[in-house]
Amino acid sequence: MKGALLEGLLVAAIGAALAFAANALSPRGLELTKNYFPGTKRALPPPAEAAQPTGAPGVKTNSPLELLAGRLRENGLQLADSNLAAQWYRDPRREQDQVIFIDARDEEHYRAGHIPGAYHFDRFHPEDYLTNVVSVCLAAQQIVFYCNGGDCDDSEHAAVMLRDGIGIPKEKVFVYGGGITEWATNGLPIEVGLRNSGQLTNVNSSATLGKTTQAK
Amino acid sequence: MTNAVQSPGKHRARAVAALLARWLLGGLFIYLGLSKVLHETEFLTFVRQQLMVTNPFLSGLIARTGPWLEVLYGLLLLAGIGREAAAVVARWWLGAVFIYMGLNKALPHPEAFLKLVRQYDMVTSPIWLNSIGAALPWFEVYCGVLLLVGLGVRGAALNLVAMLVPFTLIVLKRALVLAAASSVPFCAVRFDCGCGAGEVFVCHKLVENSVLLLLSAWLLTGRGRQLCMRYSLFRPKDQASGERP
Repeated sequence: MKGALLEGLLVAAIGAALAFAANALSPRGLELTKNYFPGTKRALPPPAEAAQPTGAPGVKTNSPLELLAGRLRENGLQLADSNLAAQWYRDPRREQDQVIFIDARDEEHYRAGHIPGAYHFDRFHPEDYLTNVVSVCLAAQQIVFYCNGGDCDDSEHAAVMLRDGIGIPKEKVFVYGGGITEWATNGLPIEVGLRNSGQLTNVNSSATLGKTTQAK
Repeated sequence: MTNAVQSPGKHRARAVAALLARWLLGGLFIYLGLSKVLHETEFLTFVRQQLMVTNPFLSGLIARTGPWLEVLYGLLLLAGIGREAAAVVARWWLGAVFIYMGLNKALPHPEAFLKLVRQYDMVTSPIWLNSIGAALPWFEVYCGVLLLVGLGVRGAALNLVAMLVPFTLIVLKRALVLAAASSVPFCAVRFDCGCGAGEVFVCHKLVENSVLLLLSAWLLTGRGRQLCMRYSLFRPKDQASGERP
């Protein structure tokens, strides 16, 4: 057994060195010293992560939205609910980038469908996106960050990162808690592909389910 | 491995423990295989989406035959037939699983795994968190490769045991928290545990981890020596690949 233990230690030592080397060489490797989760930590696991069998009782604790609002306040952020998000989407100022939406998910999810006209900012790879978002963020009056909704907290971290990184006044920064999931459930339009691709789809409407339509 | 100095009682106790472990492992394999047979559609989706086998014929073939191979393997373990060959198969299977799981975490979105590690509240320091998120997937791949080629097998198996025990416990702990928070039965809890296979039902995951743990422990006892590049790192190749002590 002693031999196995020594071998295990040797395997672990070599493995650790190789693992860190592989991470360093990987184009998508993580930076060890970077804080990828700025702001306050999430306190409780979201109940929505559990499967809800038929007839299962609802959650008895504070609603996820209340928990989220409290956490956002701690981070100096403001919560935007679905009504506010929809209202800003229809706001004429959005056409002039006075009101902007920022999608904080990864490239794959962004291309699969985002709020029409939303800018993309993946905080894990900020170098790829900063040039596109810094100037519009500084010029905008309202900036709404969102991700998937539910337990997703990428929007919060992205909001804190950009707000603190480029000095956006905190009054301008909002987080749409329901995220793209709620947006789609509410039957609001979704843009597929790149920003302003013009390919709109509404995942909740039976008339356009699974279809894409060219924007006017 | 000094069999000569072991008392008959101790030797018998070890033999009984090994027998029970083998039966348990066999039973778990049969359970896993049959559960896939009963949920063929879900398994087919898993093969297509997670294993990325897009060819319809190939994915269908894997989805139909894979579960029955697991059942057959479980039966062989229960019956104790071809144990040495079964151990070699176990080594290859374990190696392939860890290579797949590790690559799924390391590529193409290591940050997704980082987020999942964070949910367990194991560490608070960004450096420690990032180190786990960055190194663990590649370490799994490395251990998987060692097992697949048969290099330092017991050392690799020991490291897998050392990873699987705490990881299984923290998955269990988080599942209990989720079950309590959402008032659903424990086995109805489904979440992405960071295992590299997406969202899973926790009971199924715990069974899978038990299988991985038992297989690793089995290899740690000195089985699976055949077809090894160099079974032991500290012994000459001719001795290392020889008879099991």
